[in-house]
Amino acid sequence: MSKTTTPLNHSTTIRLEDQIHVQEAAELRETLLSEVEAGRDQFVLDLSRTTFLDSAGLGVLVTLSKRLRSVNGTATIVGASKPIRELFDLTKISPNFKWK
Amino acid sequence: MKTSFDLNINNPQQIREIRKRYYPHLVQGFGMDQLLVEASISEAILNAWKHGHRQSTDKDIRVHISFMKTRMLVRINDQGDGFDWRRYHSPNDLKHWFPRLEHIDEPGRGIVLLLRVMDVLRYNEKGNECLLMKKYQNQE
Repeated sequence: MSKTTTPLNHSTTIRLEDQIHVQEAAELRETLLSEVEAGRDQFVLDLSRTTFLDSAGLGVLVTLSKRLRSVNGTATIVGASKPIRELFDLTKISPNFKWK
Repeated sequence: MKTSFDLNINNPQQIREIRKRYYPHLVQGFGMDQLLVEASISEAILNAWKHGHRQSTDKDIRVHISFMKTRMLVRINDQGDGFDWRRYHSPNDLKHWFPRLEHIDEPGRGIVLLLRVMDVLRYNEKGNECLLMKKYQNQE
């Protein structure tokens, strides 16, 4: 997972792993929530290299979106493949995010 | 041609390793839907570990996957006390029972994913074994 932060506009870009299983989901949760704690409220989640994500990972992203909603922040997903987008659509959590 | 895998795991971190065995068959059978099917299998294993074994790594979860001629069958058995699966089932058409996932808790989210992706989702009476079935893409 790589991370780029821009302190001036409270934004952060996180590039997710190839596969997000339980362990990676736990690490991702820690990273994302610590960024929220640090005052970031504009998240860009780069899923361009992510080929697997299960509900553990989806749950982390839903948690992030809920946290951001409470501070008027946004989470934007970029680079998601068609199957990954379908997973979000099927589980009806797509509207929680902006998509590019 | 039937290919079967019997896999025992006690920790969901092992999913990353065991998936290498069945992944090629998922791609072959389900094409672009492979991700959804794989996420569903992982989900069922995660449920067994979280709710069946209460996240303990002392007991094995038995995973049996059969790639048959027209469909895939997955049976996942844990050694827990089972759960009350009936509360997630609508008396009507399960495929159309689908609340917004953000409004339901994590166990519910997993079962909803399974219901949407699989053609069949069944639990045994006790609720500690589930059976998943999905026809291959070209069999629909």
